[in-house]
Amino acid sequence: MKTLDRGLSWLLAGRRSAASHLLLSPAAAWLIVFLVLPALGLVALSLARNGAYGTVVWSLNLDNYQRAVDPRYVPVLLRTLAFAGATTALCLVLGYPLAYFLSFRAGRFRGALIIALMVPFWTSALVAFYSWMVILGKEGLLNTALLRFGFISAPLGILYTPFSVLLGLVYFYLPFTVLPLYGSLEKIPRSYVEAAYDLGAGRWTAFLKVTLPLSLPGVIAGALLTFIPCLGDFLTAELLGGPRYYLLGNLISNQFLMAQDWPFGAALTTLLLAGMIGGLWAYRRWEPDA
Amino acid sequence: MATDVSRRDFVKAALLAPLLPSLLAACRRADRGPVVNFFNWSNYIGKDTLPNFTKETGIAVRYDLFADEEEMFAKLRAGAAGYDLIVVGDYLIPRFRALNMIDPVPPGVLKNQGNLAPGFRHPPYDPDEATVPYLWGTTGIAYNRKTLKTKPTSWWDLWDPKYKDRLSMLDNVRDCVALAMQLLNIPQTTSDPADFKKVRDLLVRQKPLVKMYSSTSYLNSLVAGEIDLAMTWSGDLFQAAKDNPDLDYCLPKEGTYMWVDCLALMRGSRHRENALRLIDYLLEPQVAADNANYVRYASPNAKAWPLADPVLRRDPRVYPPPKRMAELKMHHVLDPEQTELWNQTWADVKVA
Amino acid sequence: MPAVADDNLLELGPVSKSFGSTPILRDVTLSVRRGEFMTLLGPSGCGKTTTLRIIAGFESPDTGRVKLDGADVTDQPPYERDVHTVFQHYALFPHLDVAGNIAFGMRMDKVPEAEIRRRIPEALAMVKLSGYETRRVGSLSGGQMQRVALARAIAGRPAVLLLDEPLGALDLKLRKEMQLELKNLQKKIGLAFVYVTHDQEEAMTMSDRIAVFNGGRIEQLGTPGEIYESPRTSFVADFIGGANIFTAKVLPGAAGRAHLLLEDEHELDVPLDAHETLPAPGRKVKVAIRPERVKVFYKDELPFGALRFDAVLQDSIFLGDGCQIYLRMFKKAPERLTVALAGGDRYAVHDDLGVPVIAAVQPEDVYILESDGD
Repeated sequence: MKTLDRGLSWLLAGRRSAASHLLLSPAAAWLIVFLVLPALGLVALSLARNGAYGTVVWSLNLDNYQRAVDPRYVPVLLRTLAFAGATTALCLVLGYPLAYFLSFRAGRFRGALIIALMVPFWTSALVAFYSWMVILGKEGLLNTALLRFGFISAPLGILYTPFSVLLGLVYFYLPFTVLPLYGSLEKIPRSYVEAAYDLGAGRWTAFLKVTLPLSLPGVIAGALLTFIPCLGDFLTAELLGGPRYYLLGNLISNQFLMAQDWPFGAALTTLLLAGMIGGLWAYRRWEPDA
Repeated sequence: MATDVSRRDFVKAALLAPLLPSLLAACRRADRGPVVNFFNWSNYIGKDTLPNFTKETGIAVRYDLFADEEEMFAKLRAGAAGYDLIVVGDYLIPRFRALNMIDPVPPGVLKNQGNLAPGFRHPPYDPDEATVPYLWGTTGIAYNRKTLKTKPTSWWDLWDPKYKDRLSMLDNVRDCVALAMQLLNIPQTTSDPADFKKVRDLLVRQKPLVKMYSSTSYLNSLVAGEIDLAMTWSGDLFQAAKDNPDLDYCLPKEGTYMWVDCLALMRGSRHRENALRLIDYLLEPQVAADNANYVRYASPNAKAWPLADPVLRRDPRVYPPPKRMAELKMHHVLDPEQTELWNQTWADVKVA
Repeated sequence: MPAVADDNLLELGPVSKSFGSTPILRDVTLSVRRGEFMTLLGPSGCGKTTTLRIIAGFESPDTGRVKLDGADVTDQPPYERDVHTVFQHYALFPHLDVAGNIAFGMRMDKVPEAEIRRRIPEALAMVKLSGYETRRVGSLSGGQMQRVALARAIAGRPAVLLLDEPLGALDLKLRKEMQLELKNLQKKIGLAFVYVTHDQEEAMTMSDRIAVFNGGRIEQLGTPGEIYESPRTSFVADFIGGANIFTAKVLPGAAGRAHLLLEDEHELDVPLDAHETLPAPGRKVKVAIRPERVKVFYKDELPFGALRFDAVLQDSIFLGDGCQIYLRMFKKAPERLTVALAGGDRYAVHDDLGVPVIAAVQPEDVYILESDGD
């Protein structure tokens, strides 16, 4: 949350002496080269026109944006928001107990468990999702096992359903939720919980009245770190989702890889980024401690 | 025409992983001698073809794979450099040439060019023979004889609600938009947005039935029996049929398209001579025959036909008899504006 | 509430506790009376904090029971015990304001909201923070946080208040102020305090009784005066006030008196206190002499009845309100005698080191210590 916060305040505050920050900080140089310049390039591309065979004709027009707000894309947007929202909610529901366990109960196994949690990061998403396909398919491990033990009589169609997309997203983004949660739970002094017990709060009440509110920054950071990348995810839907569960990320990647319409893809990306930054900005405005 | 990372490959890759260090060492060794960089569809070359070439000529082949030709085009356009030789579909050739991404093969350099059947010389998509035909095939319907009560005969079977979630479509703009136009009797020469709206509507109407749009992984699903019906490229299905003998291929009664994949020289190539030697090698009758036998596509190489696997040679699904052959259509060469309309229509179908 | 003798509110013991294979407490027995200020004093790692945590319910003893107001609470979790704790670093809830912190315990106890609203300003007034209800915890100074923690703990009106080095994080001046304030508050509300500290001066200032902990045991339990005047062990003598401790051999002597031979061949003849016992002649015993009870002279003008030690001035340290000097005693050195001189006396000492002096100690100021078992 700290880094995210700092990055955000840098991005959003503006009122501080931005110029000196820019000139002095190597981090700012890094940001400019790897974030600001590409973003500017993206915006410039979004104002261009698509030429013959997908070449880029540089210009300044808003046609791409006009196309991007076409109502035909509203269902994709809603679907994406729904999947990202559901993924975030599920990640929080699954990730909170996990982070809580890591922070309060894991003891000497904590290090090993955190590494285990990070393993999906080290695996190529492609390999991970192909493994899921092997598990979830009609003749996959799951169906074979269920059939063998007689739980089902015919294979379940799990792959290429909203369920498999959700599963893939939750699988992939769970560490993004758990790590900030773990970080914020870890920072809560144990004496706060003891103080709550001491003042008469039972375990559950102490959790609700003390631990949970104090971990709220982690909950919010974890939710943001899950929700935002979910909005741009395309690999999960591409590999685990059927044709009816394409998300915004797929719409964008299709513009680049399939439709050969880079300016339109850039316009869609710019809108998505603007939406994300706008959302973060609104959140910062609302956040009481900002 | 390809199975990207199939289940089989996945297992194979896992088994081969320990060999990686020696493979890397092999790559380093290859750096020193003559090389050619070749970018091809996955599963689209004989098992021994390239090793034999290296044995014969001393030229190492650095081989890269792609699973979708629009994606391949996007990659090359985005600046993926260093390839000397690529395999490119017929309909893409005008685009590559218009964007100056490939150099024409110089006339008279290839001693085996004469081996090509006359029908593949000076084709409409490449009248001045800037590229060299590699393999060709047809687009048709793959089906599972065992699970399907009636054998499909028509493209409209892919719109039949009783196959909901049992069928897949190729994830390919050319084949799908062309099919919709064919079924709607719209000529490929059209640039009328109203026509494209009809195309889009027809494809979107089919969408609830479609289990997946895929040019690769659907083959696994066919083999595994997860789907019974699929729009497919001929050779890919024949390769898959090796794993599941119940799979069959049909050319629908409405007719279909044939296509030719060609070898093209990348502009800016630093190993032009080696690339030309590889093309010439692939045109040798025995090499072309072995290659086609392995990937189960038809060869455009007339001299290779007598050497081909007699089973394949006699299979009307691979080499259609002259009468059916004459009925096969080639794709119309699209102008830039049409290309954009096709691409955009397809992208819209995908997210609908 | 007047303190009634033998009216024990809290009884503990004999409690033992180990963490893994490390024993932390051995047979600790303790009782706290109503309205009593009981201090658990000792160096770090002596077991005083563990004892407090066992009373609070954060740790459970391996053996021994905890009784609160006659009821056995050993198996009760902390939230069911009628004790509240003031934590070392206050442990104020940062997401609640001052009033929210103070109300927390009362809300848990289902005190009616109207009553809570009445008691919050009352508790704040008691700790002199009236009007701080809506302040955020993060905006308070250390002393203010300390007061809020205290208000939070007393607002729920527990039977016993536990305080874990509550003044440890404050600077010296503030700490002195708070010691008095805390003591006055405790007297005013008549609540039993169990107070953990490692600061013997703090313990002396505030406590009704002190339990001196060492190595997981209570070495001595008594009023500050008893502990100061009659330390039973060399640890207590040294930890409380500091002491010169010598080993002596017991010589045959009169009843009610101890005839001792120090290692440097000084002979002592001192009266025995009621609680002091003496080993058989020939055995060794430890004796303690408080530095401030030693007088220093330059001439042969020994006060009547005093024991005499010939010595050389070895070193002196200026302490502001007095000074401390170190004497090397004659005969068989290297025994060293520490002497504390208060304000005016300091000028009685020449600064010249190496000067022969006479140290005088009244016989009743020599404490006979219990043997440590060695």
